Amino acid sequence: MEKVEQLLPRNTCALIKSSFGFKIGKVCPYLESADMIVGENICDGKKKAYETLGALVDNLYVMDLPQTKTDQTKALLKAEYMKFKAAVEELTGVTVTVESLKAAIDLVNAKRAAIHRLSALRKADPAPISGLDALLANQVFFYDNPARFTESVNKICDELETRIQEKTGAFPAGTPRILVSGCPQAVPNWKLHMITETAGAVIVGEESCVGERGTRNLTADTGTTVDEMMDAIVDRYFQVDCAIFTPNPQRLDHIQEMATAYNAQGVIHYGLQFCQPYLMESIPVEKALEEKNIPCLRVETDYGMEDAGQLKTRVEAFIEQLR
Amino acid sequence: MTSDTTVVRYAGIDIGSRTIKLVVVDGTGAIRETFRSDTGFDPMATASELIEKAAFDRIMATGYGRNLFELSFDAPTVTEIKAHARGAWTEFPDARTVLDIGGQDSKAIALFENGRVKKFEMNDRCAAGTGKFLEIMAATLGFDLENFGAQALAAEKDLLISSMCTVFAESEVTSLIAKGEDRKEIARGLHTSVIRRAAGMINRVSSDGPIVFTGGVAKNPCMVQLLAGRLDREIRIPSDPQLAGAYGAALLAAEQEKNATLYH
Ligand code: SF4
Repeated sequence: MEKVEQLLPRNTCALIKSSFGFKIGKVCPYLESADMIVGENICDGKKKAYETLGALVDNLYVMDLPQTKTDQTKALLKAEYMKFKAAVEELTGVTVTVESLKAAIDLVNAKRAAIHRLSALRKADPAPISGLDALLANQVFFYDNPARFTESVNKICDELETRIQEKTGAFPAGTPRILVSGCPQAVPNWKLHMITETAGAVIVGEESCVGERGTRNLTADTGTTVDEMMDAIVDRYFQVDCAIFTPNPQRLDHIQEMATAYNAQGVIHYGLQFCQPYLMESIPVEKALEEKNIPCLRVETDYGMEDAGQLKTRVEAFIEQLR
Repeated sequence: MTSDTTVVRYAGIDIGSRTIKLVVVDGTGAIRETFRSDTGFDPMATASELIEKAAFDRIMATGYGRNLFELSFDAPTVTEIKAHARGAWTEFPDARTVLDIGGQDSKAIALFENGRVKKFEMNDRCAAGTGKFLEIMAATLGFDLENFGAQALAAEKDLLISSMCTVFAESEVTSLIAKGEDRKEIARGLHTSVIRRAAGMINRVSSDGPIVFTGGVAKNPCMVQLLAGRLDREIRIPSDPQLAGAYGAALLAAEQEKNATLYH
């Protein structure tokens, strides 16, 4: 951490700092063995951090992303994706064809569909799987071989279906149910789930990029040419209601839809310290939920454990509120 | 430990960072006994001393040491938020807002009509805006903590203290003293800065109606007066504000047993 803070200001979000920790500590095998590291200009923190990362590695490829949703920005994203496609083709010596792109779209859609199946099972009471385990599956989504991931998640789902039939849950029936919404929780971040589920509630969904926000939309498989398929990929990206977009009203609706669908009694808004986009949105989120009489707790934290005691008290008090 | 009378008695123990409080109530909720002691460096030893002195049948723990207490004494726990809410609401049933400033943290709580917690805000992880902050500043200024509020009230004006961080505020105070500024005015400025923060928390949970002020800091007259002035709302102080959490926990212990007998 001290080494990371020699490179990045202390008030950088923990997600960014942690990715630098992976690099500096050489603890991430993917980072170390990759031929190309792709960074996207998501928020100001990441954008500037890549300038620093660029000095540490010689294979960083930075992709620009739009922050508004218009025809012009769609064209910009398409151009970025085309440029990226060309870069990958050059690196690998493989040309993207109609067949290969179609197969790839199907492969990733299958992965998303498996996660949809897992999510739907979490609607049951008693919840057949802990939020922590389900979060882990959503995190592994980003790392594992796609076909193997789909297969493993489907296997988990088969098991969960049996559990639901037998009414055995990870927690007893009637355990207070909570939806988490906000910043992505990437490996090794299990803090909020761990604290919440040891305080007597179960997390039944994540409105997050590591979770439903990121996986809920499939890429349309109607394209017949590479160009049409690239359009479909762009379209899918434009459906994501991430806080880096402005304005972003769909996210408010989606949180409420999820709270209803998963039968959550309350929502914890998870903000990483120094993450402007999500911390800013947490206030309208809380207001929208309050108008619907859905209790909301806004937490702002990082990966460290110094605030664990205080966070636990706040989460416990929130659970008492839901009982 | 067990009461020898036929009346069932319920205890609430509030294990705070500075003080441990114990309140015993009977089945009607009337207070029978109260105890308090400095937390010291071995909270569980202090807690068991208090328990030895009191007579009760059931106990519920709250405060930052509640989990440790749960492990050592196998007792149920409740957060200090719910405990303070219940204690304050029982004494002032028409109140919908509670401010608690304790030794280590501070919180603002909005209540439903039935006393349940509707919403709450808690201070960040540091000592800013808590009893600890006032204690350190009183020492820096050479005031007794007991008289700190009265001295501050005697000042004619506030000296603005811009820093809420205990460490920075302390050096700010030191340089004000060095400049020959009036100690009482500095004291008042410090009180104002804590109140500014508390008022911000209150405003995030509720906008009108009386406020019940609990916790040890509610005994400080300057805090009470500044809070009332800043928010232009009525401030109500429980008969013993420091005991509100323990009292609430005792009431909840009684309630829990009532529910248990109802449902089994
Ligand atoms: S969590 Fe927030 S600050 Fe961190 S990378 Fe994501 S958008 Fe940026």
